[in-house]
Amino acid sequence: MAVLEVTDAKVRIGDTEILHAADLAVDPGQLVAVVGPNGAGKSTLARAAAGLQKLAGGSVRWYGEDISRLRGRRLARLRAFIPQRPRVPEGIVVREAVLIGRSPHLRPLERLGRGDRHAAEVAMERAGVMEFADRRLTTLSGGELQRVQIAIGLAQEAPVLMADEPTSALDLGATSAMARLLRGLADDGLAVVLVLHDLALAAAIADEVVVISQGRSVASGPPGEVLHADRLREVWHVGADLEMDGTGRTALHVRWLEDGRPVSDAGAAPGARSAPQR
Amino acid sequence: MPAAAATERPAPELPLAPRVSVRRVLVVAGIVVALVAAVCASLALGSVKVPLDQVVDAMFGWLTGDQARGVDREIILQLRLPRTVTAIAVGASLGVAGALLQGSLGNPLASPDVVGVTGGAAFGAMLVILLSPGHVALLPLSALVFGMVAALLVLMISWTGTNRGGVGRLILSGIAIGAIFTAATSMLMALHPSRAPSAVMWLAGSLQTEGWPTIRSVAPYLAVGLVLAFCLMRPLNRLALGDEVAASLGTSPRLVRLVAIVAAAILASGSAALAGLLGFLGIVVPHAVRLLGGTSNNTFVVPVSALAGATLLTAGDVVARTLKAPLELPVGPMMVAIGVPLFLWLLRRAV
Amino acid sequence: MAGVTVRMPFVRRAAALRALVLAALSVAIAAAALAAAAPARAEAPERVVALTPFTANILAQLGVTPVAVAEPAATEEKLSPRLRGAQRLAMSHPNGPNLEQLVALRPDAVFSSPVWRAGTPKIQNLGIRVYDSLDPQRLGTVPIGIKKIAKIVGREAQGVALANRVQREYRAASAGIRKHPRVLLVLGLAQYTLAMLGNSWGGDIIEAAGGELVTKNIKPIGRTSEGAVVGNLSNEAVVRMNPDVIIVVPHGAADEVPAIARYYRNFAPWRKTKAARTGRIYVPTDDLLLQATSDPASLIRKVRREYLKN
Repeated sequence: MAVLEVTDAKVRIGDTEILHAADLAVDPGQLVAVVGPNGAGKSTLARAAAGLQKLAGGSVRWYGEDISRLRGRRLARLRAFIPQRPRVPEGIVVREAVLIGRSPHLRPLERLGRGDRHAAEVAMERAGVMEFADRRLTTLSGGELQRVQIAIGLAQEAPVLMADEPTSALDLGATSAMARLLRGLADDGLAVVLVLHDLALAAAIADEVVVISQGRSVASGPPGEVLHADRLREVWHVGADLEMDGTGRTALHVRWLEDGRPVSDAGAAPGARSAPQR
Repeated sequence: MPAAAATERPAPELPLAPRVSVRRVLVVAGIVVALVAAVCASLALGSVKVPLDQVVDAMFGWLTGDQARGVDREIILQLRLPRTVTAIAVGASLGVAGALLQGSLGNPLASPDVVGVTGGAAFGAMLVILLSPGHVALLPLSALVFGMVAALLVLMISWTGTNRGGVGRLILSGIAIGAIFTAATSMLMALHPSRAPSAVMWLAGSLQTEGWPTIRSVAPYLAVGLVLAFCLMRPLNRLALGDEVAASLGTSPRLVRLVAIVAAAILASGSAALAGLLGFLGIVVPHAVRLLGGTSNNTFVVPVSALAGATLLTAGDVVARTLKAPLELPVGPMMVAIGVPLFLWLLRRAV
Repeated sequence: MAGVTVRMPFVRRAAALRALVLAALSVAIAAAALAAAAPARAEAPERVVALTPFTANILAQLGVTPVAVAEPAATEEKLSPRLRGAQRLAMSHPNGPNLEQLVALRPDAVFSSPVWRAGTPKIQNLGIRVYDSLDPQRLGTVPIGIKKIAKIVGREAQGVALANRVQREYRAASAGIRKHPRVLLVLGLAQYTLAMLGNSWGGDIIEAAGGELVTKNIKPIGRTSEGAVVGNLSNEAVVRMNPDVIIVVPHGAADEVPAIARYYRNFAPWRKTKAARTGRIYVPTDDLLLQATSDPASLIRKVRREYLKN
């Protein structure tokens, strides 16, 4: 049974329908990348799947159970969600922040136990933040902070980790470190769902890629199959090819200066969008 | 490459007992010592001289078998003791209220003033003082009720419309409601200028109460507020990581904020009912505690703010009662005189 | 004019003449201005307005009828029957009377008080003389105040006689005092104990009535300005002083006296004092113990009769 199954999700914010028919499924040990242009609804889909956004239609099931029946700490023990730009509080050190991640396992006034501290240490090791465990969050670099967020998520000891654009603000080296970490987590058995901008990165680390365009999921499957040139043109309006050599080395070759809109649009007025061909 | 190394390193052994920060322990110990000293001073010193042996006899006469003289007993047990208890209760409540609001609104300038509670409580007190001075016994109740009404109005306004329960909306509604009540209070004072002096006295803040009857009637509310605050410490920590991370951890950020504001409103209204307006405590004490302890962790800041607030107010009250004895000075300025130099010193040494 | 030699050339003569004329004009104008600005000769004002009950009643007793008097507050001294015909002016903080009404009366002088001092400059700008420091602050200065008022309205002789009579009367009211109870005189404001100190009107009246003011030797905080003769007294001190009688004057709250009386009689911090235990906590229905009255003798007798019982 899929750990997470999203079927036909609809989300409305205000008067706008952001998602109208989105699907997503994740199995343990699988790393799924949700990709798509800005405003397509990928973050919304991830948040709806995580239970942070109300659905206007469709269903989200965790281990077969509908999300509306999963509340609070129960859901928190099933999934950890790492938002795109989390708040960085003053006066808190890394170790304290990671310990806060243990709260789904603590009853309201229960004190932290040895088990909790151990889980936090393990999480910090795994995310590679032990060396600055006693430093304040406000003194960390972007890459270090992002790893701490992963550590907090790992401290939840949930089988599913969801992250919204964890690498968008990171430099090359930090992105590479994050890529190794996330792939390693999936290899260790976690189910990982990532919302990503970087298609080459997605191709390198994801087992499955889900493409969201204009509020619906238009494709899902292994990156090599899904992210072909026609799709890149249809969805991203870009002339590009994805090169994968199977060793984790990927490259996106982009004809940057080309007007990449689908062929039928080439003669149409700029900004107009028509149904993509094929 | 830390991440790669992490997968190769063996899992750490079970760690030792919780790492206790020496600094935090020292801070707490220091504040407790100061509090005990302030309480002793508050009982031993005051507007009239009571010999120390009489103080001890009054407090512990049932232990030693000695009985203090009637007048001294009355002074210690019916005037100084309830007053000390009131100072501790109000100081702790205001310190905690400030910590709760700063933690839940994520804003270092948050205080009960900002959610309109202080304005409402002042209005409630003025209603009694200026409109029906004969019913002065109702003053604490009126301040309490109107403080809560103001907070409820703020919550109602900010929980509707777009971005309901958001911090910006809360602060704006708080400012608006506070302004309305402040304006109403000014109107009342303008309409009854002959009674304005007592209004001014109340506004300056004073721990002169009727003694046990007053503290007894307000204490239950303060207790409720403190219990709520105690339960909110960890949820506030989660809120500090951001609304979305808090939600990921299974906490409802709006609910935590709501309860925190309600608790702060109860504590601030109750304190105003007892002692008038002492805004300084709510803003400055949590900051001072953070600077002293070097942390913003609410499991440290909330309880220690209670201790520090109690200490500061008790010490201020001792000064207010003894400086120009047998006349009394308002406690607000005395507390500021003690607290501001300390705070400035802390700021300069901020780590 | 100083001599101008005829032998000067024509042009220079004209210029010199002009200068001299200008100089003469300046001197004349200066002289006129000086004359106008000279303090008005003590010409007794005909039309006077009295804004305090004290001055109104004193004027009435001096045989002067003011064209208008302030409407007294419910708790203030009552106006003499002789003033029945005088127009009443409504008073409002902080300036006092309505200025248009005041001007319409064309007064020559206005007797005001520190309470309405904010309005003094405004009245003076209308060209009307204002005397706002004449209300006495102590018992001993009542005769002095009477004489000053009398002098202004040109009834000096009557003033001296009246002052002496008032003084004789209030001294007589202090005769035959049998007991000297310890008295605490308080301005009742919420739960604060604003005690009247030794150098106050109320304190003087209590002492004249034979009471021993427990706060006699307490110095007020800050400087003693007019009216600042109260101190926020700690209840610890009240218990220690243990007064026999406590008098609470409810400032500006005459309509609430019964409720206020109940409150102070059951005021917990005072419960162990002799005054509370013997039921001798009194709440007068007027403010006469707060500010000077024109008949201190009857006030002293009232205090003796009703409160001190001596």
